[in-house]
Amino acid sequence: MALLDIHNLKVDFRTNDGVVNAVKGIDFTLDRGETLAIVGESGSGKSQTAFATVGLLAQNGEVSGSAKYDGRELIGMPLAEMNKIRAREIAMIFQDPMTSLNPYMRISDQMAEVLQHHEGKSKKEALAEAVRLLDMVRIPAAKARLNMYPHEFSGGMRQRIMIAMALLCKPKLLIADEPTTALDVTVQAEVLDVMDDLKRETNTGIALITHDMGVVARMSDNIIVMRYGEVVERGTADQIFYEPQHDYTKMLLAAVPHLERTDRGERPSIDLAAGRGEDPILKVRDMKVHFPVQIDRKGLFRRTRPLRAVDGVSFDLQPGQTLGVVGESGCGKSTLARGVLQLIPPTSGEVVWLGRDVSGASRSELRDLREELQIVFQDPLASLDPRMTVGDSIAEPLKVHRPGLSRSERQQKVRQMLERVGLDSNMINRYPHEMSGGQNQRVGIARAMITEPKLVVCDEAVSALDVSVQARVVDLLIELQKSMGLAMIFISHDLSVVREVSHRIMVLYLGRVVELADGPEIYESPAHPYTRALLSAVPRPDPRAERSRERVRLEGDLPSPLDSRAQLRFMKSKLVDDPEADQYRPKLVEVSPGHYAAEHDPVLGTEALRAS
Amino acid sequence: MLNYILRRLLIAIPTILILVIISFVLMFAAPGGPFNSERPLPPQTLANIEARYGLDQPYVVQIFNYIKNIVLHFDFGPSFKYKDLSVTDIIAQGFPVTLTYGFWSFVVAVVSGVSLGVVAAIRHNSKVDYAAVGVAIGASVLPNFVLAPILLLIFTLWLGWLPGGGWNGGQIEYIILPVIALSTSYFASIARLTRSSMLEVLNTGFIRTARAKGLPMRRIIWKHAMKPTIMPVLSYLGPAFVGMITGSVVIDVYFSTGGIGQYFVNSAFNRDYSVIMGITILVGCLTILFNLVVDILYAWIDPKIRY
Repeated sequence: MALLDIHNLKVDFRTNDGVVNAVKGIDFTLDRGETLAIVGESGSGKSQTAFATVGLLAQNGEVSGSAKYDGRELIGMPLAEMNKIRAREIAMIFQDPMTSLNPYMRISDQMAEVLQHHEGKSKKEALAEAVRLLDMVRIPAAKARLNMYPHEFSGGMRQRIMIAMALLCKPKLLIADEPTTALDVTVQAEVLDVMDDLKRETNTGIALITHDMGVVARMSDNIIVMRYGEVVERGTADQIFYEPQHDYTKMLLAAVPHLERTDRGERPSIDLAAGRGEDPILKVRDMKVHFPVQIDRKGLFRRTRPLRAVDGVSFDLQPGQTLGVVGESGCGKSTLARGVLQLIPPTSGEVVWLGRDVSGASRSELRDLREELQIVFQDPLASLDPRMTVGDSIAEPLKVHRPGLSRSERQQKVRQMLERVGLDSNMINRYPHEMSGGQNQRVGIARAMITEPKLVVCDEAVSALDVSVQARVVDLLIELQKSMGLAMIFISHDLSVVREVSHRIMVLYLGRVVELADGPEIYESPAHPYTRALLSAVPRPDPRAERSRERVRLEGDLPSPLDSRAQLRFMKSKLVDDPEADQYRPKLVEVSPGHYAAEHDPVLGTEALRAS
Repeated sequence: MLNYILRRLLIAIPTILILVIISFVLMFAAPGGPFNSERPLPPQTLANIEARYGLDQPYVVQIFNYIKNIVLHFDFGPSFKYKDLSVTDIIAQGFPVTLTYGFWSFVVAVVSGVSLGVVAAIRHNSKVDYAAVGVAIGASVLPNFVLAPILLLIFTLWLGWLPGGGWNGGQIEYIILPVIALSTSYFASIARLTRSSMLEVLNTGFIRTARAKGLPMRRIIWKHAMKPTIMPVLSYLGPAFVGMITGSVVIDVYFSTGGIGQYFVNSAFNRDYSVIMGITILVGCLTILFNLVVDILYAWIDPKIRY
C-alpha cells in the first residue's frame, strides 16, 4: 500500500468572482522513502493539493475526491482525528521561514509543545529531543539558543528549525512547500542536504512542491508536472528531464536558465562584442554606503555604529554592456545599485557618469540625470502605483523630462513602447491589478525605457516571476539592450540568470567585491573560494549530473556585517580576533587579464593567487 | 529597560511644561475671565480681586509663579469659583470617584470587548460573528448621553433595582449604571479592533504552522494567536484608560457621581483658571504615564521590541 494515495482530488474556492477550480481532479501516489516532486508555476494548484490533503485550506476552499494516508481517508476526516495525524504522521514545511515560525514564542516552547501535546512528554524530555533534532539540522550551539526567539536567527537557520520541528514526532510523510525558495543558494544547498539525509536514514516519504527545476533534479525520484490544476505529465526524474513528452514540460525545461550552458538555442543572446575598447560610461570608485545602526541600549544615550552595506566598491561599465552583480542576501547588491543612481547618497567615493562625478549632485541635476539612468524593481506590482493606469505610469517620466510633448504625442510614444516590450497597446488603460506579474514587469521595463536611458539597473527584476515568464522577460531585456545600445547593471541572487545576460560579473560579499571578471571566465575558472562555493551550491537542472556532483561547501551561516571579523572569513591568517579591532582589508588581485579576485588564504588550487 | 523608562520620564518634563504653557496661552486668549458676570463688578473691585489672584501681572510672570508653586509646594492654587477650596482639594475629592468607576469601566470594556472580538473572529462569517458585529456597531452608535437616561429609565424607574444616582462612598449598586454607560462605546471599539486583529493573525503563516502541528484550536488561540492579536488593541487601550479614569461629564451629570469630569466642564464655563490647569495637568500626566505603560507592555509581549 502506498503511503499517500491521491485519487481524483479536486479543490474549489468560492470567491466573489465565482467558483475557482484550483485543482481539477488529480491522481498520484507516494511511497515510503520516495521523494515526489510536484512541479508547476504559480496558479498550477500544487500547493493547494498539499494543503487539501492535511485539511489546511483557506476557509473558502472545498475539497472532494480521495486522499488516503496509509489506507485512511483524509478528506472529510474530523478535525480531532486529523490533529492526531498532523505532525505525528504527516509533517509540513512551509515556504517562508520568516513568517512560519511564531515571532512571539521562544523556539523552545514552539518545539516542546509538539511533543508535549502528541506524546505526553514532560517539558524537559521534550526539550532534550528538540536539542537532538536541532543538532541534526546543524544549528550550532543548539542548547544555548533554545530560548531565543525566531527573529534572532537568520532565514536559513529558521528554515532548519522549521525542519527540525517538523521531524519531532518522526513523521512518515513530509510535505515541503517551496522549502528553499526564500533562501540563498548556499543555505538552500544545506537545507536540501538535510532533507535528503532524512529520506535515506528514516525512510520518510517526501512530497516536494517547487517551481525550481534545479531543486527538482537534485532531490526527486519521481515528478509530476502540474498546470492549471491538472497533471500534464508524470514520470521518473530521468524521464521528465531527458524525455519530456508534453509540450508544457518541454517549454518549462527550455525556459530554465542553465549555469553551464551558453548556447541559448533560438533565444536571443547578448552581443559579446558590444562596447569593447570604448570608454566606460560609468566609473565607480571606492564607493561606500554606510548606515548608522544602534548598537548600545544600555546607556542613557543611544550609540550607533556604521553598518558597512557597501564598503569600497569600484568598477567600470562599458556602453552596451551588462554588469551582473551577484551575492547572497545582505551582501549590499541592492544598496550598491541605489548608491550608483544616487537614490541613496553614498557615504563616500566617486560615481562618474559620462566623465562627470555625480555624487553629491543637486536635486535638479539629479532630475536631469534620471532621464539617462533608470531602474526596474523586483516586485512588479508593488513598484507601480495601483491607482494609475499602466499608460499613465509609463508616460510619467515623459511629462518630467520631455515637457514639450503634447498629450497625443505622449500617448503615441507609450503605445509604441508597450508594443516594444511585447504588450498589446490596447492595454494602455488597464490598472496594474488587472494584469499578471509578467505583464506588470514589462510595464516596469517600459516605464524605465521610455526616456531612452543609457543605463538601466535591474534590481532582481526577474526574480519574482515564473520561469517561463522570466525567460521571456530576460529575452526582452537582451533584445532591448541590443537595439538601444543600453548599458545594464543586472542584480540577482540567481547565478544562472546572471550568466545569461552579463558581459562582466561582480561577486559581492558583505559589501565588498570578492571577484570581478568576464562572464564565462568567472563561471569556468572561479578564483575565489566564495565564488566557488556559490557556484557549487546552485542545483543544476540535470538529475544525472546532480547525483554525481561534488559540492564545495561553506561552513556556517553568513556572519553579521556589523562584525569586522566577518570580512576575513576567507583570510583567517590575517584575522585579529577582536570584534572591535580594525581588520586587514583583502586587496583585489588581477589573476589574469581583466579577472580580479580578493586575496584569500590558499585553498586547493588557488595558491597561485596568494603568491602574486 | 530601566534606562528607557528613565529617559521617557525625563522627556515627560518638557512635554508637561509645553502643555502648561499652551493651556495657559489658550486660556487667556479666550474672551472673558473668572470674575466677569452679567452684572459687571465696579472696576476698582475687579482690579482688587484680580490683584489678589495675581491676574494683574504679565502672563509670563503668572506662568512662572504657577509652575514655581507646583514645583516647590505642590500647590496648584485656589479655585476661583469654589470659595475655600483649593484645586488639590477638588481633585482629591473628585478623582477617587472617577478613578473607581473609570477603572471598573475599563475592566468591563476590555474583558467583554476582547472576548467578543475573539469569539467573532474564530467563528468568522457565522451567525455568532454577525451577531457580534451587530452588537458592536449598535454599542458604538449609541452615545452615552442617550444610553444613560435609558438605563435610568429601565433599572431605576421601571424595575427599581438600582439607585438613580449618587455615590455613597462607591457602593456597588451605585457603580453599576455609570460603568455600563461609560464602558459601552469603549467595549464596542475594543471588540471591533480585536476581531479584525484576530482575523488577520489567524491568516498568518505561523498559525498555519500551529495547525499543521496538530494542536487543538484552544491552544492555538491562547498560545499562538493571543499575543499578536492584542498588540494593535493595546495602543488603543492606553488613551482609552486615561479617558475613562478622568471621567465623563455625562456620567457625572446623569448619575450625580461627583467626579472630576463635571468640575472640568464647569471650570471651563466659569473660567476657573486654576481648576482648568490642574485637571489639564492631571490628564496630561496620566496620558504620558499610560502611553509609557503601553510601550512597556509592548516590549513585554513582543520579543522583537527591546529598549
